[in-house]
Amino acid sequence: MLSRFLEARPGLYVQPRMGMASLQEMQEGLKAVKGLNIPAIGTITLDSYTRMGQLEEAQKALQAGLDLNGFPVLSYSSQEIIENLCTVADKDFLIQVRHGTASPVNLFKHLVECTLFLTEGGPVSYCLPYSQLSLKEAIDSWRQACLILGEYPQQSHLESFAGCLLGQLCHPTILVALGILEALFFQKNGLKDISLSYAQHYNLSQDLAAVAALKRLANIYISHEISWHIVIYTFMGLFPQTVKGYNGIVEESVQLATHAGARRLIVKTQEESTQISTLSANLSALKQAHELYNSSPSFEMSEDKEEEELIFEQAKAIIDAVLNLSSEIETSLYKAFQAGYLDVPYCLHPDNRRLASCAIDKEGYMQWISIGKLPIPIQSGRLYPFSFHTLTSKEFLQMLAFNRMKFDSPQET
Amino acid sequence: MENMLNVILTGTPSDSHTWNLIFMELFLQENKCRVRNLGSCVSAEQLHTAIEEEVPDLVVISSINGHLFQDAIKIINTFPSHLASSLPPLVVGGKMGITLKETGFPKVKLLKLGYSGVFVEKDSLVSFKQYLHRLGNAKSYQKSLRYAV
Repeated sequence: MLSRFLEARPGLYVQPRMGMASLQEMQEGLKAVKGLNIPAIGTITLDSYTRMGQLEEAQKALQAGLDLNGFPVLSYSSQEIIENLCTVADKDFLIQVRHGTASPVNLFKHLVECTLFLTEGGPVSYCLPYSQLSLKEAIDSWRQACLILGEYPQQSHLESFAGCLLGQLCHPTILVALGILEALFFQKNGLKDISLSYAQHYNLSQDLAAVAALKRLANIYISHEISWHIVIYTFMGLFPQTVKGYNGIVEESVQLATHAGARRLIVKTQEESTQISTLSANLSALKQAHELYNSSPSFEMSEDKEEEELIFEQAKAIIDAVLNLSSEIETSLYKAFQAGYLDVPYCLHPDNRRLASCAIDKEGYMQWISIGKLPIPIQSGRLYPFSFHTLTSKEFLQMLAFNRMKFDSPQET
Repeated sequence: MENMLNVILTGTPSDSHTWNLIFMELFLQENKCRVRNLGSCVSAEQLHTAIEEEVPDLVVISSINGHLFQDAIKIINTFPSHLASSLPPLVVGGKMGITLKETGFPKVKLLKLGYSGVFVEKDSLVSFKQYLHRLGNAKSYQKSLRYAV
């Protein structure tokens, strides 16, 4: 119901990545976010043991009083969670569970018992980057998990994480195409209220073009009975180290969310590149993003319509080719990776072909180095702007540090 | 490319990061290696199987955000006995672990357990490059001996 919640309320909602080990700390965290009295969504992020299904490890850590890097939702009963956490939510304050699980059936069963109906992920986006689970198994597990949420069409919400694949260095065409395909997967398996994500990359114009293409494609492919919205993530790669650099990159992500017409922004704290964020860092990041949104002047941005058209055409060609592989979206997705019709650059999962590759150009646009077997029409002169076909390890390191250089550099105004 | 080193590159069970593995793949390729990159979150068993299949000249275990020290001990201590007698050189690199110091005891312990190299210091890439060249030279030398016979 998150999309319908947002449809009835104006403005940009901000959201942290917060997750604490104990019920009490988690409750305090949620209350503190609610207490900011700004348009915000509460977050319960799970710890990595729970994410990997290592429940005994999570339990051991809890009993030993050790800290975890998130909330071990499966280690608490539904009654404890309802009494301590769900009571913080009300008609104006919703809570989303963020997890990173490639096989979420047991998790979703528990979430539904806990009345925590808002969550995220996806059969591809939570399998390829983080898991050794085969894509086939992940797809099957996600199908069952979606059906569990789908039994509560009025309450449930599922966000596709596909727009954040690997968090950085992904070509927007792939992020957009996979976002739509995961949305269609959710739709087929019973969800009525979903969202599509997109992670800030290296150039605001290209990011705006990508989200514009994503929205156009969503209007074409997603059924009108489904409510959906766009969620933007502040850059997820190597972060600037200076205060000026941090402020600069956050401001650009707020501009992206604002001008792309997104309804939610997942913020990143200044600490996050080096450690798990404290509650106070999370609260200041939320306040800062909200204030930037409120004060952001309507800036004149020359739209890159040509880039939007390019991403739209490429993503549409991929989506159509993938859907043509089978009448079942589950089979289509699996076959598409086998055929290289879907191929995520730099992703080492055994089911990813790794024939396609991309790099950042001088302007900060992600561009193809090689399209491998992607069913993209090769008609544009902009398809291959580089003179090289493989990267050096040094160039690769420079790409990882691109935004750090861009926003920390003293020349940047 | 006869004299290339066949390398298995792998992450560890407790580290889901892959950017270090992509960097290392490119770095190894630039230093005359043919690389099979197993990716992140690889279990000790998966690594054992890959070594048995591939019979590599070198195994590189890389981690930047997990428990490299504990993982490295487990990997080398759990090799099946039929593999343990004919193991290729194994090296680890990156960061030892979230709470461990980079040098001293952990490094010595891993070398004693049988690791051929532990590259966890700031300038380790330079010494790792030298290590690769020595290994490559040794491989060509052995090959020339074989031809001479």
